[in-house]
Amino acid sequence: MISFFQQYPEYWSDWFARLLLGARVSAELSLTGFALAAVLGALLAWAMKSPSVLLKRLAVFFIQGMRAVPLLALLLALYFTLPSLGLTLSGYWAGAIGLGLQGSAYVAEILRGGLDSLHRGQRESAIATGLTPLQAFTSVIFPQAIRGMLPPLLNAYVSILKDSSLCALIATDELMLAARAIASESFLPMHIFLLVGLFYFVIAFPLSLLSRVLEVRFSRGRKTIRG
Amino acid sequence: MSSPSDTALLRVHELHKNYGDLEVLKGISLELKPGETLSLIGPSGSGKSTCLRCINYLEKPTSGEIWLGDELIGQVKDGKRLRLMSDREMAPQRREIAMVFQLFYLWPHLNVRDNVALGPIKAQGMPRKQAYELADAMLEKVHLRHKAEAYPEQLSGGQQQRVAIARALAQQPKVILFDEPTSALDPELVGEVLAVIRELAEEGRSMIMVTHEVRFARDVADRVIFMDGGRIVEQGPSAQVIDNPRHERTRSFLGRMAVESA
Repeated sequence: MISFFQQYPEYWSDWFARLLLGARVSAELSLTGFALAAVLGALLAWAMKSPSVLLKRLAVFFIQGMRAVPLLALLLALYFTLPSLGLTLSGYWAGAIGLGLQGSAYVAEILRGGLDSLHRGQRESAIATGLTPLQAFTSVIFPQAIRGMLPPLLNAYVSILKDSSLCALIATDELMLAARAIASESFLPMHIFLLVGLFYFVIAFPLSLLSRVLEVRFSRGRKTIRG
Repeated sequence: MSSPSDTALLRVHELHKNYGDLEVLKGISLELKPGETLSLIGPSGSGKSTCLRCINYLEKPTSGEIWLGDELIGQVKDGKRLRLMSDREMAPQRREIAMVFQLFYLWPHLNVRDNVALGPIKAQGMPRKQAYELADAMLEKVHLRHKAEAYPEQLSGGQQQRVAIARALAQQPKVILFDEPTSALDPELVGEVLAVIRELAEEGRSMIMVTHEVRFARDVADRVIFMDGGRIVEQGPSAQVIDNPRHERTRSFLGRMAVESA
């Protein structure tokens, strides 16, 4: 009997190279998506904090909408229906925008939660000292809030990375599409998809671990923070 | 001969504050002379903290005016009418009116020296080196120079409040507002904070202090104002108001305080 990993040994280096290429696209795709999510999420969080009721309602509506729509439906809509409106996106960009749109809803909630976790006295004491609201934000509010935001932001990135595998269905040459191609050529789906799982794990696990470490570290500090 | 308002450093004129239908301040007028320590006392809910927070516009007054010297605080002429300033517009005025909070509100991510120096660096544009020298000098005043490298969480409540006082001093303000500075402290830590405030009073700082420490107000403040139900009931030299109150409500409040602290 041939052992599990000794089939087609001459092909493994080729497969590995193709998967590595796909993994690189996955990493780029998810980072682009996350960058979009961060920018849009920051705008949404700002809108939710703004005194304008209209802006607040629009932001909440957008966020609820993005949470309710399945990502696959969003990706298919961006990829297949926008061309009929005269806007053709590549699979990569349709994927990045879809991931960014949906990710922004989660990022916005993380940012808002981080800002809300600070006592309002922190801002009051800053402006009472003569700081402008912008100075209060950059010197006092944000440096404190970011500690609580980093772990969930890392988790949000890991989610986007995993979700980026759905972009295989809109013909983005990322890790999952590469894997499906190889699996159908080689008739070794179990081997290939196990290997793909390992790829995702190698990227995602250290980030999850880092998130956990940061969470423990910051929560240790937080207990003693008063006011 | 000059009228009293000509010599006043800070004037509060006909201050009203409503929260919806609830009228918290029903027309407060008071004056603070340069170098004077003024104490606001009164039962909880009398509006004394709200009054203090209106002076630097952390609460927006419903109507009324605050004057610091000949400068109108928190409002600006817009054409013919007055409008509220934004927080950004108010920053230079707030720099001149420091505030010490009941719960300190030090910034936990900065060490003690940075907590004190941040205001001068950001609000006054002072070079960092000079701001640190100023911070160390102010920490010296509150006897915490040796804690400059510590973080707020490593300090006792009394030490944190003294850092907050150093932070207020570093603003180089014209007036310092104290909002129940010892109410959140364990009893054995109250003395060290009061001692620092007493030193400031003796230096001739202009201060307004909301406090429950009636005996301290009597010893340290030049004048005491007794508030109840959003109005000033009685005011005068501290010894007179506290030892020989004219109004029945002042007497019963002081009586209750005496029983509680006995």
